[in-house]
Amino acid sequence: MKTKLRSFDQVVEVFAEVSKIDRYREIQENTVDYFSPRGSGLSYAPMSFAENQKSLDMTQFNRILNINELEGWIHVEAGINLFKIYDILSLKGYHLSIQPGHPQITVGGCIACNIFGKNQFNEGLFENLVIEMEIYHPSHGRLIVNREKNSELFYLTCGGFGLTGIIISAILRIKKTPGHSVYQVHLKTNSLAETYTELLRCSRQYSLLYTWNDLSLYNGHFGRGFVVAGNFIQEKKSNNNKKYRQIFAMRKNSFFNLMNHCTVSVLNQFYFFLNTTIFQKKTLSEFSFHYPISKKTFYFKLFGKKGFIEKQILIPHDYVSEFIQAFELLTKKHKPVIALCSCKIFSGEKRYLNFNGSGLVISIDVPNSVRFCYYLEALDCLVTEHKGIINICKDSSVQLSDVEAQYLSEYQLFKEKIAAYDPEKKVNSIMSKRLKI
Amino acid sequence: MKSLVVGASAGLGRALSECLASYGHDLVLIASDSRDLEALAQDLRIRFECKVEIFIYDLSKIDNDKLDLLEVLDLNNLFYVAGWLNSDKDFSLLSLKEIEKIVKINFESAVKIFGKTLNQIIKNNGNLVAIGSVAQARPRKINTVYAASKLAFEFYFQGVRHYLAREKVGVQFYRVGFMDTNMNKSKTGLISKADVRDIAKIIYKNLGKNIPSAYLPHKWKWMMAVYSRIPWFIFKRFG
Repeated sequence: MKTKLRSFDQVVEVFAEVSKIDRYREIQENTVDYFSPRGSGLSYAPMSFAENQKSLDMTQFNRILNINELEGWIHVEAGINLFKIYDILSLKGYHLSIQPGHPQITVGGCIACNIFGKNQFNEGLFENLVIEMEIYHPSHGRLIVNREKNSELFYLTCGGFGLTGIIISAILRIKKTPGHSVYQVHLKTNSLAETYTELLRCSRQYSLLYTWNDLSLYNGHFGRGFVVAGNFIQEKKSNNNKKYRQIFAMRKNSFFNLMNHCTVSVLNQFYFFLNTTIFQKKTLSEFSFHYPISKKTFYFKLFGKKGFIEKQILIPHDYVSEFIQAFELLTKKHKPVIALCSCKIFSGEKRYLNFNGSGLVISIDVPNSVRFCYYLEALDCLVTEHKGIINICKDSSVQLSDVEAQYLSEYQLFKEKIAAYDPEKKVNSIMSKRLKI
Repeated sequence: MKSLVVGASAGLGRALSECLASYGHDLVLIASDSRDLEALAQDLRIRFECKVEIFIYDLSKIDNDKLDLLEVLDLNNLFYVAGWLNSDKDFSLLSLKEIEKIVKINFESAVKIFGKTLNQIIKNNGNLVAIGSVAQARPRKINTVYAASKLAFEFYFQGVRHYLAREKVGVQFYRVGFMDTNMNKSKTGLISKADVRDIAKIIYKNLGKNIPSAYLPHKWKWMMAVYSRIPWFIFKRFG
């Protein structure tokens, strides 16, 4: 039976057949034809479905298979969400040191998009937690992959958008939680340039970092905001606060887009005031710090039926100053509605289509509107000019030409390796088809 | 408390196993697929720190000797959740093997397992819980064999209930409607599918009670009351 499926940002909507399987023998039965593996379906971009094709929902494969605290690993089925892992590990005083913003995301999704948390500059991407995986592909059967055995497939799978097949299970590295709570401070900054400098400074003192910036002000305060810096502390904060609001790609949005210049400007000024005065310093439970959007999911509904577009950009350190100036000029020229802007410091190496490198990451959310398409296209060009890359997993609107121009030979290499592994393209999605992978 | 769940690896059986484990029950789980069952057992052991024993039995081919192992488990509760239906096929199209499988899983194995575990449950003043189907309300050409075997199971269950009338054993039989499981994936239409976790919670809360036969979710009671009274000249036109 065909169901309507949408990307999380609401930009792409198609009819597809969703098969929610719950037995191991059904994996082989359901992968005879073309299919897309699917976890929670929370990818901003359409990674887990394709039109009129089977989308294999693996969320019933969400069991914990083993834990070894001494050796520091947990073995889970890849359909498990991060909350379920957090729930058991927190009782034992352990955690996964890399966490995205919401606990509903599955381990398979984390691996496929090679996600990162608020400590990328220290801990890197999610693949650094992955010790071993079991993958199933109809042409290759079940394979165990790690850094020694089938290592090429291991690295293709991490950040491989699910194109290497179904990730059945994974062994993940766990660490002792450094503290019971996180002491968080908000350090005011007056511009994006100052934010960047402050981030670099804070990366030497704090283990958890991200920013909030206001791009709705076109006067001298453009880009002002604050760095959210945190360190684990021993003080015990009640961890009963493990409740979160569920988010869905198929959600009821506001009838109209409520994010316009007026509302965003007012909300931002209020948010800035609160967070640089009353909430400037606070102690949070580890859960609240790791998952800041776990209770603020209403935000995604405010963009109306058309949803939003997120651009997550990584600019190498050498080009950051120049990029910030050009970005500011571009934004002031087009005056888009930027509902949210957040920055992070990154450290790493490029590989295939992973969103990785060393530099500044800027994320912006813009309502999905024809009015802003010139701005977004110009932004893509700006990123390319400054040797940056865009996060493919976050951008439903990303075009092949931009990916080729930004990822260069890594795109070609990824495409060739996937083609060699899966020449019939049995595993695919809307995004993989658009990028001709 | 020790509970046996037959048909534990997926769907309602799995949800029930998780529910029971969350309330501190030790478990004995029966299913046919070792990989599914081992994964579930490990998950429950780790999350709920309970004892979980597993038996890999194919209920359509089970040896009577293997069932002897069930006599020594010292059980408090038995939940027979297993069922099998080869989609919605006219009974005339079923092969003999399929007919045999439907009857064995939905009726014969249930009777045998009940027989092997009854004394323990009586001794421990426990519960016997059996899962049937709304299909039992009225036979149609589709799934006739399945509905008949579930109805036979319910008939047998009423006899067991009579046998246990003077014992302190809770007996509950549920005719369960469409659930959000693989068995019902082809079922579409106006009737929404129930969440297996909600059904499992209701079953757990009813432990200790005497429920000869009840529909779950409750709305099916009224739907089936109407359905079973549709005049023949209309009903015969249904698919």
